Amino acid sequence: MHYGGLPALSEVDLTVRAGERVALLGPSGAGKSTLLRLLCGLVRPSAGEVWVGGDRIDGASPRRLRRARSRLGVVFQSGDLPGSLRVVHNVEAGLLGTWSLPRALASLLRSRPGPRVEEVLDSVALTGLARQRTDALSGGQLQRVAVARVLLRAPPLILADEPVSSVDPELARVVLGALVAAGGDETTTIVSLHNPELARRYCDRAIGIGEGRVRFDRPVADLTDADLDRLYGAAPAGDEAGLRR
Amino acid sequence: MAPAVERTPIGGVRFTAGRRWGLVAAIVLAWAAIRAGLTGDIVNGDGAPSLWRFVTAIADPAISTGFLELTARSALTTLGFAVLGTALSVCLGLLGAPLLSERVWELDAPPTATARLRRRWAWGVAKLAALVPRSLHEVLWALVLVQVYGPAPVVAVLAIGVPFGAVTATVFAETIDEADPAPYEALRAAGTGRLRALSWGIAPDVSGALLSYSFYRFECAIRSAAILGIVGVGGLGFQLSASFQSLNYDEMWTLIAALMVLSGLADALSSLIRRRQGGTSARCGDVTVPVPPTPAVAARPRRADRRDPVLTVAVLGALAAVPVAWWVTELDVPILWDARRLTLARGVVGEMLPPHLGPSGWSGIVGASLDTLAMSVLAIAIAAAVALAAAVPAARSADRAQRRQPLARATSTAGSWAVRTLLLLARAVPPPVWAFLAALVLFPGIWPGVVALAVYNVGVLGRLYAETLEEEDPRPREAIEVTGAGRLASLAYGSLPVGASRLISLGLYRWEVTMRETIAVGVVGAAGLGRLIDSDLAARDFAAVSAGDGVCRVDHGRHVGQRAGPTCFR
Repeated sequence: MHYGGLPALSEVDLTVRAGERVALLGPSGAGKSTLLRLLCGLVRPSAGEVWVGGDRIDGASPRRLRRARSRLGVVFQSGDLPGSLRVVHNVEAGLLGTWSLPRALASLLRSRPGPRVEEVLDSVALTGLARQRTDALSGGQLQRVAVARVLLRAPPLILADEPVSSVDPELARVVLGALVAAGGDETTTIVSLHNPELARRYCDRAIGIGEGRVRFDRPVADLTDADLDRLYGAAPAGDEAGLRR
Repeated sequence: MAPAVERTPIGGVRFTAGRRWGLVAAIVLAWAAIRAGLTGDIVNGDGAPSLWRFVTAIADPAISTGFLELTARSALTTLGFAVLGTALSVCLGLLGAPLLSERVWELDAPPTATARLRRRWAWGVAKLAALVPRSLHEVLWALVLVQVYGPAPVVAVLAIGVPFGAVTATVFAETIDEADPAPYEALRAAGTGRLRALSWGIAPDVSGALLSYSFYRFECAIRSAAILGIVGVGGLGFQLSASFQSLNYDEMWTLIAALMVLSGLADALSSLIRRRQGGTSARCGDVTVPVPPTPAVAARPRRADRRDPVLTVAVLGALAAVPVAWWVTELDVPILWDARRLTLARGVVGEMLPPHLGPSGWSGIVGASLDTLAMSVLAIAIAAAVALAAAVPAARSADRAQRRQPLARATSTAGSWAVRTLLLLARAVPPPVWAFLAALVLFPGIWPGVVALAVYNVGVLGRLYAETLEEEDPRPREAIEVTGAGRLASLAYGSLPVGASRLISLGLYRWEVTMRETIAVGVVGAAGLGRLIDSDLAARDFAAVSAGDGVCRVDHGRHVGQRAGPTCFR
């Protein structure tokens, strides 16, 4: 995978089993976000293949890509919520893959949240904010709206890119707990995190990524401080521009 | 668990306001449709064969050597008018900007109340002086100037240069007002003269934006030069009008192709300059269109000690084009102070003042004003809806293209180019020509003007909407796409909420411009103030013309009082 001629990811060969909870660890610019964007088909690899749940994602036709994506729930780092929409609409947008177009358009005209929307907002500590305009929320609240969007769908595969980076430690535990428990034991979760403690608490497997390569891949129980020192110490200064979008 | 934020009434109020505005827009639209007439004789089926002959003539355009030579000469004339008109407008803009800049008047102002009041008064007079020329449509300038100078090239140059100059001065002044004053103040504190401090302290900061805007005006000038041809000053517009009147539709398509080439090249040059500015914004009145650098430009290492070669070539080329255009158009400037012409000019001005009501009286003016308003409302509503639908396939998404298979990518690119070509056709052909064509199948009245202005504005707005969709933050759309939602749902939930305010601003802005453009279709027979003014001109009733102008100015001034910069995005 290249950006502007620079390698963003290379020699990545990973298989994630159904029901696994995987933490992607690594310094900023290591390639974690790129890996997640590859998995949901937002970027295409310059070489290699990407398979999700039996569907090949890279270069898939729009119809096949939509079908594969209807099984995904994705939380982006930031900037993915239009500020002029109400919270309820941004949360309900998670169901668009299963709605007809008339229903999607009609939903924009109705601002009363359904009980399920209220429920997922409660689970991420956003009780009573469903009718609020999204641009009136703080950074941490925005991240929780994005998480609530995924919780509403409870998809079989959740991809989350630093979903709690703007949230205080206590709330981060609440939100991450809700996210990994969203679909029960059958849900596969791949989440990029900066905090190894959260990885140890909520995930089964840790994959360390540095300079676009897999540095380690092991159960979180086997994760050592030496692994983390090597991973975060290896990041060369100023590498972000080339690797991150 | 964190405490939930109290629900505020802000969202509710905004939502209510949005619905209220929607209701107002619906009522105005319904009134306009009723005014234009929804029943009765609207469509004239007898003209359908003529329109069909025009459409099918595209397969057999006039390509004789003689006509191609005439087309090339006319294209050069139109290009020459645009170059000279833009050059004049930029000169007027550079001279006028310091006078219109609030900051320039305030900088160095003595702290006394009297001095401040005097400067505010002078600034207000300067603003008013710029409002008059810029609020009159170029066609109106040309129609009046033709009375004095005949169909001379200088008429086209002045008709473009004077109103554009007033707009350019206003936009340049606003750019200066937004620049950081610290370098200027530092130079003044060190004893530097005012002009030199402006040149060294403010000009370097704003030069990129001014250059960008100047090329945007050139893009507008090409379209205006074509429109002016219709009133007899030569160039492609004139030939187009002549070919239509002699029913030579094959010639019309050849001329339209030439107009599309000129317009397309001007658009591309203008876009290139804006993008080379590397993230600066294209200023158009108060509507700022941020133009981020393309990935290629962003990735290119920048040398602070070296000028951008493309910009340098563009500027040198523009400077060299001025004398060439002068020679091509055979511009005769001394005609301006020819004694006989000056006497004629004094006579026309004398007849225009004081304004008086034409033979139709107040009822005629009020009726024509309402027709103009209804025409512009319907035209812009239709144009905005069609332009939005066209902008979706026309917008090019590098990210989306990158992740597609080669065949799907090629199909998508071909579709995008096809829609862009149709949009180019819609805006390259002057509104009066669209009005001529609409008049073939519609009975005289408001609807031919509506159709003509709607088609033209689909071209202009479609391009602007496509650029808006291309330039907006892609993350909300991507976040919707990964839910498996279709393209339209992604548009409704991801793209439109992000770009809505800008899309609405552009639509309202075009509405303002379209009100003035009703003059251009009015003079070829559509209803409204343009029709009234044309009748008064035909009767050489200049005082009635100036009364009609006054209504246009009041109408227009009401809008520019709210938002500056009237002729952008033409």
